[in-house]
Amino acid sequence: MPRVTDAGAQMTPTVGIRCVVNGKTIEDSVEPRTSLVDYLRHGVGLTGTHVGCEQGVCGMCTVLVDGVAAKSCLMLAPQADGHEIRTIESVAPGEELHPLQEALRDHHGLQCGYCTPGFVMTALALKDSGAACDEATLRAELSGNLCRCTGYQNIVTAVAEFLGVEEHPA
Amino acid sequence: MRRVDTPGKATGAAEYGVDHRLPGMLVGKFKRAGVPHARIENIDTSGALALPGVRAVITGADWPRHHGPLLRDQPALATDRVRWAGEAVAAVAAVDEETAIEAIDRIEVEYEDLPVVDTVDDALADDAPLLHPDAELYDVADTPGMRIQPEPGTNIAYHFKLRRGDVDVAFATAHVTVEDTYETQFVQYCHLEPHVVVAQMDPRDGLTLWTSTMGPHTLRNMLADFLDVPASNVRVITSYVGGAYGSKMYLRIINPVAALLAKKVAPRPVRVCFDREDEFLSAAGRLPARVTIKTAVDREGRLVARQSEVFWNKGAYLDLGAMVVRNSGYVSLGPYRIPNARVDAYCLYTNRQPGGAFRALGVPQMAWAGEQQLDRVARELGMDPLELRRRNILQEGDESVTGEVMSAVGAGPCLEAVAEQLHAMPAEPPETASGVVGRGAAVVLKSTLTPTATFASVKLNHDGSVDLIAAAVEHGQGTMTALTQIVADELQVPFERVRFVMPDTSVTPFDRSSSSSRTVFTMGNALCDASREVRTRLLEMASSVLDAEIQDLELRDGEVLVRDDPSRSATYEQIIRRYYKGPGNIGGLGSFATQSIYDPMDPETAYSTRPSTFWMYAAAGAEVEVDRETGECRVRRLVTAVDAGKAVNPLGCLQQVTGSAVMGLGMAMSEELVFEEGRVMNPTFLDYKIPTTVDLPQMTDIVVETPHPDGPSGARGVGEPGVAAVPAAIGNAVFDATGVQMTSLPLRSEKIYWSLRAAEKAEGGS
Repeated sequence: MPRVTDAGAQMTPTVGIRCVVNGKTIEDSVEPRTSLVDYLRHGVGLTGTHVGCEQGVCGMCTVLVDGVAAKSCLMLAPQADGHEIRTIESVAPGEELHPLQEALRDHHGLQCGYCTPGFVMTALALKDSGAACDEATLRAELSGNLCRCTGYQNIVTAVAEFLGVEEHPA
Repeated sequence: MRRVDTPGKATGAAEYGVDHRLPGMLVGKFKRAGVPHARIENIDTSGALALPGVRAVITGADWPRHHGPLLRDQPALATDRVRWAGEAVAAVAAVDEETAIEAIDRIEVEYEDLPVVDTVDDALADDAPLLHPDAELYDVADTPGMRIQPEPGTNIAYHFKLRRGDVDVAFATAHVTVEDTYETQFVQYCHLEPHVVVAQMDPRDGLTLWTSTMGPHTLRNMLADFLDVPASNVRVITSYVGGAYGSKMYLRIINPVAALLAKKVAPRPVRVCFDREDEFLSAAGRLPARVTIKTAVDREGRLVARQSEVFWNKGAYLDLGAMVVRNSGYVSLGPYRIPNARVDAYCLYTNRQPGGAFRALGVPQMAWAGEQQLDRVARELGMDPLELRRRNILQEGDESVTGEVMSAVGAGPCLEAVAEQLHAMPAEPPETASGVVGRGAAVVLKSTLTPTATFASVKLNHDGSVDLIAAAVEHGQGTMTALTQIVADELQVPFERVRFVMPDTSVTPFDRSSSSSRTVFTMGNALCDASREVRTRLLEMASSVLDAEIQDLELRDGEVLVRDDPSRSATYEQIIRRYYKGPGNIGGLGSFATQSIYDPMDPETAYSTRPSTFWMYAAAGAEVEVDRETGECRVRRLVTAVDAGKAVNPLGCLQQVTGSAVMGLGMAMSEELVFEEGRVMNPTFLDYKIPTTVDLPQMTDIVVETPHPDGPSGARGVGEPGVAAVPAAIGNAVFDATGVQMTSLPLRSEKIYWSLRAAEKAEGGS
């Protein structure tokens, strides 16, 4: 493959950021207009976080910011400065799956899988919040994450099992 | 058996088309026309070319060759004329996203607006502007059983005809005849992973594409044809596809644009990725139809005649439209015995985006009309709609409207399964004083792409593992899991020892596409064939190594057993290593082709004794509550049954039933791409609502099994038909609740409100 160079790229001033991503402290400089999801995917190389609409509707890009679920397409990378970010890659770093991922496997809670990381992060945030949860709350909490394949039923079942929420029989 | 793709997908490790990046990769973007119908007066690209960081700018003049899966009517980039607002008029490759966007903004296009053909009425008007005045001059792809012949001087791109018996006589003498007109809307695929292509042109190896596609080989062939190079000069590599549902096929905008940019910037790779607005404005989707259907029955409720006239709003180019129109045309009258039948379906060019193949290929639109009308007929007869269906539904040995003697018919079993669940308990009373409750059902059949040829390889390795080498794309359907199960079973190896090789046209043998619910059936059969070859060779080798007769050998769980003498058993690994005195392989190439069982459809009458390799069947039942004051409709329960023939993976089949049912729910209740004068008014997920977790009714999903004699272990496809039955079932439930039949989708509250008011007014006035 011939070598190529990028003469002519527009130079934009960058800003420094320091944040913790999946437990590791990162110091970097980014263009101020870079969205957090683009930074995570292309700057840090964490491609498990997906992009679906770039306007905060579909939930593909959900990550945890200081433990709270956030749509990383609506945040700029510089806004991560001083914060702790968790992405899907942190959930089961070893060979074993996380219990939520196991539940998704047992109940066939995914198909194309593109939305799955977002659902996992939303459900983990819900669990970590410690808030009391019934099935209606659970469905409401998950309604910010779109899925076009599964019809949701198996995702709800898997997350309900993980959270210990009783699901009403269909 | 749990899905093999779960660990990768649930941990974020799975690679999708959007994740593919190469060193030195440029960003490709295209400029949307923004006007639905116009003559291009001038395109000025000088501003873009002058921008630092821009590596290439292309317009239609660069490569004016046309493409299209059935009729070559579509340019890569608009040349002299724009036919829909989302059409590409120019494209750029630049060093980064921002530069590419800036370059697109700097391209100036002067248009002379032309009158817009938005609706089917616009397209049919006597003085309608013609979108393709020279349509009859386009190259036609040779498609078996289909005669594509645009009608000169009109916007009719294709006309499908079905003729059986004599409908006129039957209508004249029938006991009850009902005629209505129904309409459906444009529905978008809304796969969450967008269209994406990375293309690279190498002077020696040709063009390589890394892309999310359902049909890598078909894409390769079409691209080679478009670029006028041998197919071997194009290579298509896929990874996981983040949803498709019939999308991500054929050339359309993204592939020609990426290929032409890659040619221009060779050998640098270029990546083109749709954003969500591109998906709504420039991708294909479900075609809207207007269906006028007429049904006649005798005193006993036997169907004596049905006829339909269908006008399809096809958009700017034919794309796969004729296939949608034909394949839904010959099932538009439903899974019934109908002695006299007539269908005329017209594909009309309009200034909208070209819709295409979408899960269940036109059947939801046809069922919305035909299945709702049956409930009207039942009411006229004073008969239970279920009973009316029972009296007419296709049974083993019945002749279909095309002349096929049907076998392994799952229509009745699906309908009965739904009826049993739907009526298992009495309906709860309405929640509000003005609420009314109703139930309804619908049943459908769908064909599969026929004829097709499918090839696949299986390789048994010297460590006892197996490589499954097939161009079967995993876009969510569970293909990897089901095919892995089939191969593991055929070769008697543990499921975990089968490795699925991702489709790559340089590696995986030919298959047309992972579409039309055909993969388990066709690829499953090809893999069984390939596995048998491996098995035969393995047994020959084992016979030599173990010094035993082949008929005394048995394969079980990765071992060759010698009957009556377990001590002489050996693992596959040992057989291969001992036979070759070292490492080696056993390979098999299998195939499954359907050209010999296919009976090409007569283009004048649609007569065919076997138009489809297999048939799919589904039924749905719904219970709704409608507020008579506000028109609000809530689906309380949804029961869906699909015939899997024999479920290879029962939980996987159920997933398909649930997923297709909810997709049908979205089509029924909320989804509609809204057009005004050819322009899309709601190209975002904020304004185009697909169902979420809070929109689901109580769901009951059922897998029915009517084994198909030609399917692997009796299996048949399950992915599509569920979506087709759901909107009509909900419509029938609304009719049952209110006595008013809704004729157009989706069932928005305001639409129901006005229909109820109109019905009250008509009653009051009579």
